[in-house]
Amino acid sequence: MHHIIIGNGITGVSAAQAIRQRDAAARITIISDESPFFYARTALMWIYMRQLTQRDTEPFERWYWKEQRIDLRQGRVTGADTAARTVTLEDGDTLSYDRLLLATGGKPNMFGWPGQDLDGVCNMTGLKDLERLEAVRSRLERAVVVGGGLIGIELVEMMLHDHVPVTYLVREPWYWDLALSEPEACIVEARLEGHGVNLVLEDEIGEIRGDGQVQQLVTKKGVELPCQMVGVATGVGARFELAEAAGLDVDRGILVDDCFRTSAEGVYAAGDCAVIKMPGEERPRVEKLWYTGQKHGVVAGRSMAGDADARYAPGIPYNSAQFMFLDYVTVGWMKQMRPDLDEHFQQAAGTEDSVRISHQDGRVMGFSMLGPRWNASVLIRWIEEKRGLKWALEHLNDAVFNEEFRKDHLGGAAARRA
Amino acid sequence: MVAVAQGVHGGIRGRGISAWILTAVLLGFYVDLYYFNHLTPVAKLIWSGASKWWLYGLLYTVAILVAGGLYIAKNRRSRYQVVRTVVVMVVQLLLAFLVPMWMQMFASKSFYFSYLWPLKIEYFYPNTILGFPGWIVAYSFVASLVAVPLLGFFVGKRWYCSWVCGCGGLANTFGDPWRHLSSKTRWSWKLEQYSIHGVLLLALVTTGLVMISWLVGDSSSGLKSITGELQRHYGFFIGGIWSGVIGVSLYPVLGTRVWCRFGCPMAALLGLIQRPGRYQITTQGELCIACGNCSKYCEMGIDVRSYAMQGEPVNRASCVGCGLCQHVCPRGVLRLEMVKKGKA
Repeated sequence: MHHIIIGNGITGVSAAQAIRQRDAAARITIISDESPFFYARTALMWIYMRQLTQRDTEPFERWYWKEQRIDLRQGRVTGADTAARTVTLEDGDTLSYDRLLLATGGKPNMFGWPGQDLDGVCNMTGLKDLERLEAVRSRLERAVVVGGGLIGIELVEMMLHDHVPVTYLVREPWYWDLALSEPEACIVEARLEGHGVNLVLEDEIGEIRGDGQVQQLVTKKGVELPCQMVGVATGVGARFELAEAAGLDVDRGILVDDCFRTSAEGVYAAGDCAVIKMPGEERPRVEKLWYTGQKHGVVAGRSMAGDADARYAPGIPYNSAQFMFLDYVTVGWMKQMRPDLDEHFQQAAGTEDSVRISHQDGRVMGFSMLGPRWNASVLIRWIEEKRGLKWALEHLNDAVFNEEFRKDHLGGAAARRA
Repeated sequence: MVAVAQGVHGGIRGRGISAWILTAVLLGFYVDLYYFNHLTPVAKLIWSGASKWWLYGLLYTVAILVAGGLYIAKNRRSRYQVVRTVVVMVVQLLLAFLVPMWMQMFASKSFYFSYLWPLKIEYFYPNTILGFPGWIVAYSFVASLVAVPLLGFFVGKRWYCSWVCGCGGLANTFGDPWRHLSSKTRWSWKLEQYSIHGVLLLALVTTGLVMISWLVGDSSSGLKSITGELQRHYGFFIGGIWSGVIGVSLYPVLGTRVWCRFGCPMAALLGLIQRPGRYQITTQGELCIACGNCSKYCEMGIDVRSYAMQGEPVNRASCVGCGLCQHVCPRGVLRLEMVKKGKA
């Protein structure tokens, strides 16, 4: 049985590991255009900051792949023939598969802005982007970063690391409105402004001007911002050209079922490139986080290796982040996703520590926590156990995951108040 | 224009030429210190009662205090780092420098209260013991035989290796710019297990033989000469060359805890106690993004990330509990904890 996996990101690699775990004899080939070995693209910022080398971001030592008999091949797949069960590489080579996994990931959203192809317009999703950023780095005097999300703030931090004055353009009324409430965003924005970031809210790219290289960004509202680099972090879409050309069913991504099977026999898709139609769920799932990529990969791999019980069970969603060293974790559902929920918010006076808890009919439904570190699995359990808001506030200390000696501004305060 | 900092890519922190030059300078200094006497007159210029070893202690203490201050400034966001480093600095200044100096002044014999057997192997040699007042001998034995196992079991080896010990203190302050250079390969982990336990065995055998030989007295000249040789070679190779010359000089090319990781009998002993004890680093696998900052900045060469990715606790004999992995983790995945192992 030959399994071919296209894409060596977290999804492709997790799938390969799951296949190997179930089938010691299977032949497994991972093909990647981007890099010879699996690396954590979550760490791009630290490579740029010279805090990690690219090699440091490889989670497995290189002997691992040989030991696990997972063949790695660097090259671009140009076509797949699902009837003949072959894939063709750019160098002309054709490989036959029994099972094929498309784990081709995402690609940055670019909305056709005038000037978006100029030198100095950079995304931050892969190694190629680092090369582009490096190319402009030595002549950087000013930068503009666009997009109020996690990658946007990382690009801002990278500019601050180089002491480059940076304007941060966020279309929404506050930073990361998809996840943060306005008071939470205020805490993060105060940090940004404290570091001298010129934060511009409720405005977006009008056009990017330059002569080969970026010279200026003009916002929709007409603000002219001179710069040599425009960092665009306005989300990622699925990368599915290969699937589309191969005739698979696609709709803003590769359509799969809860076993990650596509419309073609023996072909699977998972991770950022997949759109999952779960039985009993009206809206297809599009999940683009590190942990979802890993979960997808494991289920897809088991499924490819013949495990009939392999079914995707999404569970309670969660995410975590760090904004300029301010810790953040969210678990469950907040008002942004479920407007019908009620919310309790409290911020310890004079600190950046805050808790926001969503609830319905007296039961906690979600947590959004800034400042301290929290044990996510405890918070998830509280939602599963249908704990009440008052109970959760009284027991907050049990979910704290702070390092020793960290001052407690919230847990005690919450317990006293409740 | 931007001047891009080199960081860990080449240069003094990334095994560039400057790093090798610094290593050569440090090596030269240590060779001179251990095997020549050029530094004695320099020491006498500062204090007439000084030896070259006093001057070394002064430099060592200044290095820990100055670099410790810088370390605190750099890691001020972490209270664990601040508290730990302040303790290391105070212990070094008082117990490893001022108190021994005062003892030298008033009793012409100094004792380092922050160093214990088996790291300071001679503190269990009868000849050393007999030269000190009873309460110091009692302190030394209680510290080594009671405090070490008890504290090691309940809080982990960190209480000594990262909070008290001068070798660890220098590594975590002066050596901090090179902590990431420790090798994380599987091969180095294997080597470490053999070498550190080998040295522990050697330390136990040496101490035992010295004690027996003393008890037996002059009746066995064969034993006495063998013991003397062993004692001398242990002091020369392990105590001198390895812990001193190699341990510190190679910071800029091999990372900071080469001695602590591969050679220190005290660390080996504490590690054996730590494994079944309460201390571990708990990980939240679900939040890990596999970035590798924890592994990179582990001075003991532990591949912390491989545990974090699986949500497994890091329960390793070698972990000195410096806490840097927990501090550099960008997703709050890691926490140094005291737990009853086997119970969730």
